[in-house]
Amino acid sequence: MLLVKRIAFYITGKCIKLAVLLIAVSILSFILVSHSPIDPVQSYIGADITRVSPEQRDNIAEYWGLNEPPIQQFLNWGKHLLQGDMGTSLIYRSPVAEVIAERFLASLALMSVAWVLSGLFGYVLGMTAGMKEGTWVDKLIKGYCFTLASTPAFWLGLLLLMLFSVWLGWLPIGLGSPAGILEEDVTFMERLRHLILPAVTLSIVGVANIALHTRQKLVDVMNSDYVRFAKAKGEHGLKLLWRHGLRNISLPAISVHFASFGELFGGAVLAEQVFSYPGLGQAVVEAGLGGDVPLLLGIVLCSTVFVFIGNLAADILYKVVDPRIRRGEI
Amino acid sequence: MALTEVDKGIPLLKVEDFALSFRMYKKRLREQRMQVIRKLNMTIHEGEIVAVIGASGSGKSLLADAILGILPDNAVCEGTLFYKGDVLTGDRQERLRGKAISLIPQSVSALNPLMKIGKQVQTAVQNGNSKIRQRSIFQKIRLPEGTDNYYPYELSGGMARRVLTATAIIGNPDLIIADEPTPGLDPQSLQEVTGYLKNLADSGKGVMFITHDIDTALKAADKVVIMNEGKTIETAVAEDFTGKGEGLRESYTKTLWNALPQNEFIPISESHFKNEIEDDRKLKVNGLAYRYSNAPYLFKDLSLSVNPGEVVGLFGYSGAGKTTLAQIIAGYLKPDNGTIEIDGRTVSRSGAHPVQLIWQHPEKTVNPRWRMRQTLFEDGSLDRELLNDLGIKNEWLDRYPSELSGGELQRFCLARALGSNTKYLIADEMTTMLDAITQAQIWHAVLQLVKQRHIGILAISHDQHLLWRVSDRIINFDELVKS
Amino acid sequence: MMRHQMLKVSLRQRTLAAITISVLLLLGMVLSGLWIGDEKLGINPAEMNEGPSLNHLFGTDWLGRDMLARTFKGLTLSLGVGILAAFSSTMIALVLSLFASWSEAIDRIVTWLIDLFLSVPHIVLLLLISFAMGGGFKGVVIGLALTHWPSLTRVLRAEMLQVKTAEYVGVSKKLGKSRLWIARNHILPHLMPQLLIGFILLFPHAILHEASITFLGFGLPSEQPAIGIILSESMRYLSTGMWWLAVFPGLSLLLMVALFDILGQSLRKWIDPFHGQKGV
Repeated sequence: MLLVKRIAFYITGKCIKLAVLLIAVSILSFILVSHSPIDPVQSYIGADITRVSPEQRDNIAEYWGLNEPPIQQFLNWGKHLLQGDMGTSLIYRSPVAEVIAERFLASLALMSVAWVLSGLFGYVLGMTAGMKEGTWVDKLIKGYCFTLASTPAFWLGLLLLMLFSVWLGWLPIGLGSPAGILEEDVTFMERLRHLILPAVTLSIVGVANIALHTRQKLVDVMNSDYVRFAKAKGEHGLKLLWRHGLRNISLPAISVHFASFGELFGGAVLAEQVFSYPGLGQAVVEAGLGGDVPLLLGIVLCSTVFVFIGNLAADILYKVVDPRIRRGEI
Repeated sequence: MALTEVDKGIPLLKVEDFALSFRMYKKRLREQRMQVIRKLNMTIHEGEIVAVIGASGSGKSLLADAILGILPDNAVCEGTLFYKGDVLTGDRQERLRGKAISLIPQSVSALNPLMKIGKQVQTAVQNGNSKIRQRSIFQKIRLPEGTDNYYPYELSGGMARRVLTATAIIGNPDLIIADEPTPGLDPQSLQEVTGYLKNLADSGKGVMFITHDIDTALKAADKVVIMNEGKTIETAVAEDFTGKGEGLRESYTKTLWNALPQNEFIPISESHFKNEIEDDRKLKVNGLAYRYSNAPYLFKDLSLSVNPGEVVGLFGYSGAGKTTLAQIIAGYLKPDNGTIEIDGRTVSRSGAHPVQLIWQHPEKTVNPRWRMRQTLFEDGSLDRELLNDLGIKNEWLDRYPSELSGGELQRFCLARALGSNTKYLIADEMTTMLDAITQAQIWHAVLQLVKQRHIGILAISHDQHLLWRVSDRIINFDELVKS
Repeated sequence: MMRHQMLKVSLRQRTLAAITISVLLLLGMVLSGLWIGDEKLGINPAEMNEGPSLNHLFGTDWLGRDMLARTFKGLTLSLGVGILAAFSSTMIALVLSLFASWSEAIDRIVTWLIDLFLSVPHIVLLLLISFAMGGGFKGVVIGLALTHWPSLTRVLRAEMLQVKTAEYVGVSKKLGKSRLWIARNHILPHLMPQLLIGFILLFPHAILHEASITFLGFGLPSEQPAIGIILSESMRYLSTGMWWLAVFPGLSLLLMVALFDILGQSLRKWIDPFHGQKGV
């Protein structure tokens, strides 16, 4: 009973936090956008005056509250947002919510594959390095991770593109699906083929963080008092590692990996740009370059929620690890 | 070694000319070789408790690691260890540890925080049904049923000690190494621990009892190995530690023995303080109450007073809340209720506090980036005479804290605290971390200074003998809290 | 045995060597970048699309420009942007963490600000700020400066809290020292090394992010030979097999970032050998 109450309390708290965060982020980004030399409304209408019908123009004016002070404009926008109306995208000529939903799905496929892959490899590499601390294996893995951390993600993408698509011709050069084929006719395998390179790029970059973290944690655990005592008890080798290492490291490692959603999204933006992968990252770049304010703001909010979910998962996992929480004593 | 080793047969453990050093990196990555143990010799026979005594931080725990073969990679060992007459090689250590040789560690941090107690004890069982073994040993050692389902954080201090002991003896070892198993315990718990160790020895096992406290060691040990500066100074039988130590051969051991508060220490002066001052000129604590956020009150309505020039001893065991009280009186913490008055007035928040606190761990109370001269200047100017009285040597002034010993640092802390504004000192376990000789020297200096300067002292300790020696009157913390 | 000891270089020597070498290499990069004049960057129709050779170590592009010169110029540019951004970010971090030490309320505000800035993906935030500033040099520098302080502030704040609750600071207070005195004599000296290391370790991030958003088209204007520009231009020529357009500039960027990283890590080890007991 107490546990249920605590969970309810926790959920309410997190919801309030998310609401405050979203309000703050929308205020912040609205201020930024309205200070930009590109006026949201003018650019919308002025970009291609011939394609905007008077009716559309009225719609837009109504949406933003043309000629009203910025605060009023913000409130207008906020009111529409709360009603689920994120405005209309200039570039894509369709509701922002729809664009985001479609693009996000594509990005999600890319990011989840990359996330799982980098998590697995990073974890295994980190464990190996931590186990062999100080040996050449450790140094090799550490060096590899530090090099990766200094590698521009988009450059890595370019290299892979050159190697596998241009020279070897194994994989397609870009786009989420082959050109000239209707959306419905694209096979799963085709989609997969287009996913491989961006996902590989993204996962290679993501390995460094999780590997270094896992390694450090394992080293710390191996130097702890309880591993000293475990050794004194006669435990050794893989059994010791399994009982005390994996147990105490695994969930925190996954937790850290969840907390890296922000970097994952950033990496996806770059990878999608290099491989012309039609995801949310590519859309945000186009929105920024094309002055598509509603889409830009929409994606900012969407990515904030995405990062928040990652952090939330991390937080919950941390709590699950703690036996005191599990026993319901805190 | 004129001891009767010959007729006892082959010793269980023999340590011969053992030395241990570490490769370390200091500031600016200068590599240093830190010699922890220089030359250690000792033997343990079956059925015998041998205490190894050295000051805190003298590397005694590392001796345990060395015997078990679980030293960190950067340790360098010399000398030879023999177990039952044969050289103890790395291979053998790996085979023996947890079976023939086991460890009782100091604190609950030796238990994996995320694993249930029962499981952890079972992992120490090498063969047979581990669950049954664990159950029976828990019964034998009087751990309540269901303890095996606990996580380490759910154990009380006493239970944790029993669990650690259970883990160590479940494999039926011949040699048990107890690494400081009695840190600041109350007499009852102390009795319990020493009782266990004696039982083990009576059943034919060898016990190595590592501690910094001679007094505790003598409660259990048959033989005592005295270490100083990493060397075995003397191995004596427990019975030699009587009287003025006439049975002891080495002068260091004699000095150490006599420096104990219960022995010579400092000649007790007649209580020089006559309780005649009835006016306001005193440190007066009235009706103090304090608790940490949601915990129960440590104390409610606590009152005491210290007169100028008087030494008041405050006695209590670890974990009772003495340190919190000390911090409140010295102005570090704000009480939930109650007043602290000095000469009839409450202390203003700004400016130097007339009550200065001397902490237990001097190395934490000096800025590690400063030379000692700068630390002293924090209090104003250098008082040469004061430094002299406290036995601070001139060349120490240009050293960094990491280059001085705990005793030397504590002298600096005293010098810093004895500024012109200071009217009272609170000495919170001031010499607990130090060896008996240094303890005696420091108290000697402090008591003289206090008399000269007419400063009142509240001496807080768990060491009754010490308080008897230094105090004009003694207050029992438990009674203080209850009343 | 003797030989072994002679061959063994101590950690101190290795660290000092790493610091010296990385500083020298970075200096070399910058100086050569500054020394390269505009004539080297000029168009040369006679030497178009040439692969790497002794004359042009990094090859030439479709306008016959020497890629080595462009790369070094680009690195110098990146470094300039990096210095401006890292310095401003460090200052923001220092001021915020000093504020945070003042009272619990301010500390909570600072923590909330950190969380707020970390709650939007870094690249998206950069993009937004750059968009707001109308792109260009100003947009990049302001964007980088405004988004790199949170992690350093977090580190500095933690250090600050640690010193603030240290026993020796408590003693100092009770000896009658004012908050300002304690801040100047205890806290600031403790923070300075962290600040220096934090500053240097911000460089790699700032430089990589600058290259990234320039690559995306939000950063430095396309007439500048920034690495991001060079790489994004190279994409158009990838299918023609001109691999050198992408490989060498990217590799040089990696090298520069790695050098800053090594410099920062080595300095940290040297100033503050954290787990110094390990004799690795």
